[in-house]
Amino acid sequence: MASFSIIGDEDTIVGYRFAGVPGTAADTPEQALEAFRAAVREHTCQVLLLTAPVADMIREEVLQHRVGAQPPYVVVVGDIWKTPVERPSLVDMINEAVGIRIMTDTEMPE
Amino acid sequence: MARLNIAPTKSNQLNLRRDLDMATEGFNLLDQKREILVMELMRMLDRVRRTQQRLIEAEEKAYTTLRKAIAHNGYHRMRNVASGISYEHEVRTHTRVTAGVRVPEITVKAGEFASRFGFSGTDSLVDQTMLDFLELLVVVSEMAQIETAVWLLARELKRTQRRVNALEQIFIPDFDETLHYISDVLESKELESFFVMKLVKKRLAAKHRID
Repeated sequence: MASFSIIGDEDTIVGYRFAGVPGTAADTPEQALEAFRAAVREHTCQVLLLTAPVADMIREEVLQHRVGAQPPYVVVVGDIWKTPVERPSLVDMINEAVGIRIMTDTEMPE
Repeated sequence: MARLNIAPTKSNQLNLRRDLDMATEGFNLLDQKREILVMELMRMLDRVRRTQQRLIEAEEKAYTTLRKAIAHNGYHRMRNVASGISYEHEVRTHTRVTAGVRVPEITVKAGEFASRFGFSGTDSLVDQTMLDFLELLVVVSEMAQIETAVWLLARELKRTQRRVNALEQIFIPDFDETLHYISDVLESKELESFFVMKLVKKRLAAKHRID
């Protein structure tokens, strides 16, 4: 089993290839879903990197996989072209779950 | 609050009292679990912020180097060089249990930087790309652990919160109200039977006197 694997666009995959991370290119939701299911089913890696656009395409599938807390552990990274994707940050997720928002000094209203 | 639709009998009262005890005990346990999860998430908040910042910086550095390297060497050359690179990364995973949630812990020992391609036809940007992406991989691994942990803990906290609310706002008040209702009814029944008994006793005594 490989340690890492990535699903994303061709260019980002080339970058991670320099760190010895194999990858599968996916440009459409169908390709992304197929690659993700194959990675989960065949346990090809322990940590699976998804570029933000890919994670956005298969959001539900990723959520379902995360519930199991089983490898491959998913982490979302940006793509090299900085494609903007709207998704809640981890800090937002914590704030929402806890029910209160902790603000840093810089976020405090004057 | 709504009273449960059950007959006001002694056995139902006993059953309901047992259910109320269990619900109260469950509420206390879940409340403790909620507090532990909140503390755990708050403890992680700072780490999340720091790691996210490190990830943004490492991504920015590695991606900028990659874009430059592609511009200098050409995409196909870069792809050819990259296809021959392999590293033995060591990833160890084990799970720890926090408040009943299995949280993974990932330890990564990224492969040591070494020349993996010929020097001819490549420049220092290619070496730098490899170096930057190896550094990025370490931060990404840390993020993988944090992201999974936060996601699982936040989800469990929401579920626990819903259960605590259901017990606190619905079940316990309903049980309480029903128990009060049953107690009232049983008490009035007891009082009624007491008066009936007294009346019977009085009549029997009167009858005895006449006899």
